[in-house]
Amino acid sequence: MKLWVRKILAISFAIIIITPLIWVVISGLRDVSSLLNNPFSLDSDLSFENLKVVINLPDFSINLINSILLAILSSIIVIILITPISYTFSRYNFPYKKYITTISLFSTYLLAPPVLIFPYFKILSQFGIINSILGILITHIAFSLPFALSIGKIIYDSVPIEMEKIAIINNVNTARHLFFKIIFPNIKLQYIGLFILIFAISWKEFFYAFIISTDSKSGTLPVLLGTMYSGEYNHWGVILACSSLMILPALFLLILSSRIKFQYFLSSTSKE
Amino acid sequence: MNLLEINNLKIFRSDILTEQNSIVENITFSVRPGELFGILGPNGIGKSSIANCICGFIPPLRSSKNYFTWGNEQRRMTGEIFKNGVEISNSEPSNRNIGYVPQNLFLYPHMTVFENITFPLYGKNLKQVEINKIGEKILREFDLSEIKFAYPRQISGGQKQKVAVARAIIKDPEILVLDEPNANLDPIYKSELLPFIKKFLRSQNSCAIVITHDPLEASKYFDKIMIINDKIIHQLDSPNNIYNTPKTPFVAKFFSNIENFIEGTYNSDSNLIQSDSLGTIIIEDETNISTYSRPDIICGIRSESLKIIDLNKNFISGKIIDEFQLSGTNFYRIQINKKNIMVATSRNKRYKINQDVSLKITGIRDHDYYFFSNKITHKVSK
Amino acid sequence: MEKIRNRNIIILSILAFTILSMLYIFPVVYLFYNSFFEKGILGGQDRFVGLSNYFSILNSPKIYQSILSSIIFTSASVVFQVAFGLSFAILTYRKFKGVDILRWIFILPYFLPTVVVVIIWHFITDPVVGILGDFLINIGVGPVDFRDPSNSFLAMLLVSVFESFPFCFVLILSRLMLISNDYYLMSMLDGISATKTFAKITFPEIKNTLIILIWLRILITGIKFDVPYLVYGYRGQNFFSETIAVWLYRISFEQFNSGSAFAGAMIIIILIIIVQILFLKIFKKRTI
Repeated sequence: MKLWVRKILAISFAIIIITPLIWVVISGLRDVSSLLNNPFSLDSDLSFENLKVVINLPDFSINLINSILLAILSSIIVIILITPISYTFSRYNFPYKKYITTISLFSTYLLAPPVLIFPYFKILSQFGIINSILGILITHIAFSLPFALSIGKIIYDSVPIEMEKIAIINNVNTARHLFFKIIFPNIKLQYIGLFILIFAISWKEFFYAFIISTDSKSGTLPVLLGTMYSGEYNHWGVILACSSLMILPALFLLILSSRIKFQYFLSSTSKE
Repeated sequence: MNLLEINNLKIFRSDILTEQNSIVENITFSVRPGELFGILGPNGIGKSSIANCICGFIPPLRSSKNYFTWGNEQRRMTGEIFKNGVEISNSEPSNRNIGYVPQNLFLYPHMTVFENITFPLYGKNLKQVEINKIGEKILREFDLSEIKFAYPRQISGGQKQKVAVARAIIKDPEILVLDEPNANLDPIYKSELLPFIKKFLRSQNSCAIVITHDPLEASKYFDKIMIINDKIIHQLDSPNNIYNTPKTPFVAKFFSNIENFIEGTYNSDSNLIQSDSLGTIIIEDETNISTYSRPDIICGIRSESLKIIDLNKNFISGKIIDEFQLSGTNFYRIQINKKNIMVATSRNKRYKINQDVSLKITGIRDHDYYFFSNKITHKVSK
Repeated sequence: MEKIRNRNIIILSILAFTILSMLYIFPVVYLFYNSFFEKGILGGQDRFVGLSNYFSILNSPKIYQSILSSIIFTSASVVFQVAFGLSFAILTYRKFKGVDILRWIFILPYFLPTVVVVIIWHFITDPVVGILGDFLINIGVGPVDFRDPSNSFLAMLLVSVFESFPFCFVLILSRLMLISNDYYLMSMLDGISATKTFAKITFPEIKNTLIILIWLRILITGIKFDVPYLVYGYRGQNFFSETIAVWLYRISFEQFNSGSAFAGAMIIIILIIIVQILFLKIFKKRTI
């Protein structure tokens, strides 16, 4: 296929994908009446009215903090947890290795959220942590762990084992030395990519947060948005403004994309 | 006393013992202090496995299975390794005091040249001041002071090689193992590295084991060479000796520059070789073949021992199919009986392609004919 | 030293692995155990009822409807997800100026919560306020109401494909970028047409990736709750909105027979395991 054909097709599709997003963001900044009257015109009547309403919603700030906290905490905890396991999967041989790795990597598909949600609900209730961030955190960690494990293994597979062998033959032998002096500096970028990935997974997660937060105070932003949309809340402007707030982090990453090399993100998600 | 002694080493592909399972067998050799020892052989034959064994990366074959192994290493070894008389076959790589330069160097990309080189010293619990001092000294010896703070991705192949060797040498190991150090280098660097290592060996009384597949460079610098093919040692000797008296057809072809091999049957009474290609060959020089008693024989002849003469019905004849010059000598390739292609030289007359000529086998010196049996295990010539 | 190093790493791994197992084994055991009981009315004692929970689930048509609904929806969605992911990967795996930005745009939808995707497309296609809504009326597709039950399948499809194609895109793209450029240079030298190059060189390389991708996407999409629920399920029930996930949700939280909720979940687990084993048998061992 000729290069220009490819370019045109790619650009067209990209426009189709990004225009709705940008349109939603812009529309959130407009007056409701202008939305209804002339949807197409890009008048300069930008109003932050909708945004103000969103920010002043009773649960907004709490839900925002919940979302951010959950995303950061689950990313950090998941990354800490998968590090030794992925290293072991990558470098060590042990009995039943094939079975253990397959089951760990696939557990989130075999035992998917809708299946586990009811037992989780009951167990978390019994422990008294239903309707709390801790409860949602636990489910988010469970949800992300297997996926992060598979990526972790790939990350460690990408570091040549000879580097460790040379260290070992020079008596630089301890786990701490090997990991922090040799392996870790080479996987920093991949870990950042992994962090972003788990952050995104937790950020956009709806199902667990929706069910475990039994009152609106402990929900996350997707839950807030979902409740608004599915309720009788007919105020388009506010809904759109709130959606924009959720779109913006992703758009922000896009703008940074010229600096963040695509390769590094790719290398943390490619499977070989 | 031998610095390094390998006794009856056998390397297996996995820990399941089957017929076809071995990579190399019956490897026995020793290295003295100050010696540069070469392991030579074709690609894929198992030389790197021997290097890995010496370093300690291949675990010994145990009767009981080891349940938790690091490094995805499938191979196993049996046999003994001694260093200065002490058996180290079961000790860990970190305790063997060996410097290792792998084939792809594996310099640490996130460290500068200086950090790469001084890295092994962290295993010795030295103070940073000490480490810096030793590092500086090595930098000067290797002439790398200019790129002290450069990163591996910024320096050339030859410099990377030096850094890798410096990294292996800095902790003053008794044994150096280099896996194909010259494989990716320009010819200029090729001629620098091995003499430099030899100098180091003499001054420190350590030894080095170099894996290579280039016979030419091997003959120039090594004190002793071990040639490996088909899982076993074919010959272990100084380069000069191997060149002059190869023990198997493989060594003759691979190392000693012998290009012509004639198969035939040998009659020890009449000292005749009946060959399909060259008819009857009369052996006049008896010392070479006197101990040979089997009927099947391979006769190796150097191209310098054969001479092309004008077409003469008393001598066997054929057609020249190729011709080239090398170092002032003319080489010809002759096809005889549609089967054999032989290379002969002639200093005097120039012959042309497609010309019919005759072949004169003149044997003057001892080293012109080599006799091997068809089976490798019976080595013949002296 | 090596033994100590090994031991430390093993200990850490076992610790972490135990946590992972707890998070999955705990609920499953709880599930299994309680599926044989019936919740006491008004907080009374639980009654052991054996397999009757299972029978009541299996005797009701709802589970079969939900499985069928899931199959239909998942097949359609996965086909389009993979098709779009593949197309975008093919369009952007060779470098040209600005391709980085395009690739980021193609990944972008993955970072959006499902709610946002639903809202976006609802808004866009709304006949009153949406820019596409007007357009659709003009080309005769008629006023499209996202919330209209009869549109729910298309709406679900749109949302699902939009939020999932980046996954396929990234997976295929990373595999494509591993193909050495030399193959293409050689085929150019030999004068082989673009389609043939794709069929003979590119496609065999990504065949395995595609198989694994489709398998993964079927598992992930088939069990998704967000899409059917947020498109229609929160308001009512129709065939398409009641997929396996939504059905599970309803019997867990909208009915009061927790015993059958557990049994239903167990049945789905067994179903998924059977499907997994089938996949493994058919596709033996394929690495990406």
